[in-house]
Amino acid sequence: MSMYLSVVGQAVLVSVLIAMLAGWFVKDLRKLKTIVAVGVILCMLIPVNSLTVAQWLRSVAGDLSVLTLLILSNILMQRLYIFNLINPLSRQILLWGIMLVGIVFYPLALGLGSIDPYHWGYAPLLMGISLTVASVFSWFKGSRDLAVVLLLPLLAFNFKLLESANLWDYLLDPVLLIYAVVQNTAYIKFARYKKQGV
Amino acid sequence: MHLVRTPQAVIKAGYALLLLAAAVPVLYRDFSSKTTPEFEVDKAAVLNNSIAKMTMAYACEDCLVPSVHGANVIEKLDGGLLATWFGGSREGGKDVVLWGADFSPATQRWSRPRHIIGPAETQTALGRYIKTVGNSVLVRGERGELGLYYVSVSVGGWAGSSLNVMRSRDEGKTWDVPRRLITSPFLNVSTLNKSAAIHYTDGTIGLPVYHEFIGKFAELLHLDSDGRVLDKIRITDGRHSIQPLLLPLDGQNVIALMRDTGPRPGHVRISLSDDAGKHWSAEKSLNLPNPDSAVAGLRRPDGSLLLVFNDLEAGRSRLALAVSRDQGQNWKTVRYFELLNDGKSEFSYPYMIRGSDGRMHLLYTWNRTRIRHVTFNDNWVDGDKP
Repeated sequence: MSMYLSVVGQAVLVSVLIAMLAGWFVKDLRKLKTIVAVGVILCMLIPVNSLTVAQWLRSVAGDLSVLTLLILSNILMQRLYIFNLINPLSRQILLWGIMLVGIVFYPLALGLGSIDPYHWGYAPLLMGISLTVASVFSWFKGSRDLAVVLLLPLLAFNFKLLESANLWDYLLDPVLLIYAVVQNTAYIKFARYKKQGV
Repeated sequence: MHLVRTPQAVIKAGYALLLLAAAVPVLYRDFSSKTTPEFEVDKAAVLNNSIAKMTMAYACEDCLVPSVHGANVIEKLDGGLLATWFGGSREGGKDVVLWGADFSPATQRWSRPRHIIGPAETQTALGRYIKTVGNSVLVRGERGELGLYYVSVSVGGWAGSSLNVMRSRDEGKTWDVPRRLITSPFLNVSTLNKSAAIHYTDGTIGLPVYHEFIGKFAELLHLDSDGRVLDKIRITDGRHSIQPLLLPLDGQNVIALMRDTGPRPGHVRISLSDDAGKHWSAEKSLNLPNPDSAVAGLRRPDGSLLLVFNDLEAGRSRLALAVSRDQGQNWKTVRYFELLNDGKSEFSYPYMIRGSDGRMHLLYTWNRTRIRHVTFNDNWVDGDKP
């Protein structure tokens, strides 16, 4: 059971990378979908030096969190179907949250000081309550997709869909943090540029 | 959005269901969880009153490969021993595999080393690149099975280590497929083991581990009897102490003795817990030198503690045995296993257990080419010195 979501993560990550690379050269969506489909099959099945390309990527990037899967799936839907799985505003709020939490979380979890927030993720009562409260708040504020997105990692944790028994691994990973930092930095620069233009 | 076309009542009901499915199990699990178990102590509490005796041999004299290191040992159900270590052309090399050997209680001899597992088999099992393997620790499970917890590295050096576990139900003759332990949020690096596990009264296991990526600190992994991670507790922080050796004093009190990786001259570091390892005191230095090398030890049935360590400020060419009778606060060196002190020889990475007959078994790296096996009893520790 715990391997399925990891394999899905590999497939989605490979799909996004192929869609982004091929998107530079191929503008026809039907052709792009075909390229992504063929590319994913090759990357998932054909071994290169005893591991598939997806497994090599997994060796470097690790297993992806549920939130990363959702963000990547959103990118894929945008690229291939011109469709937002997550509302852009909700996505922006989510990426800011990920960045702020990640910037504090990783240094502490890697040994800066005596507090280890990763420890909280094994019996995540407070984390579970926080996510639930944030989800309900988002729901009543009208961000229904964000409300659902905040609960999905908790649901996946309950069903142990990843190898990890720690809720943090369902919420965060270094790939997601880097993506959030890059996206938020770009957003700030764009906002500044827009302001100057006005 | 297509959701707009779905009736509001259905959307609300769906969200309510999701909310219940996501939140309730987490709340239920936490409120229904049991209190932290106590340590199991004195499992092999046989006092050995035979005459003072110490014998030296090798767990592998011809180790089949140029470099061996990181031995550990466990008593088998028949009273024999099973040891594992890593070896290859050099530490960290791609050809390094885990080796194992059995000590027969009948012949009092070690078997020829056999291949246990290497990077190739681990890579196939985990579906990810594995460059090398390293330290291993054998643990007896609740149902009598053996667990082998071992380090593997995908990228970089030892700082990039992850832990894996595989189990054997026939005393180490065959092993099932290894499985990764997820113990770190950053690409699952860096968690390494070195010292023996401790057991809790509810059958769960405490595996002392350490981190050496950005910081260098000691941690305690709480595992269930199947090797699943239940919790991870930080023992120390900073960059000064790794390779914790845990010595439970009773059900609640435990000390952690650690290798000093801080500024020289180093000293064996100590931290204490009085709530079964949930919280730890600030670490401090003992009055024992430590040349940035691992220590081994155990608690004897009379409550005294034994510690094997390199009692030098630099180098690993002297290996000593110290005794503490005040719960690890003060130590007295009573014996030497190696006394060359030539600055070149290496007698390191000790690992010590107490057998069910009360004899102590000490294994350590002998000049990186052999694994030394020393057997001794209580009277040798406490008796007149030569």
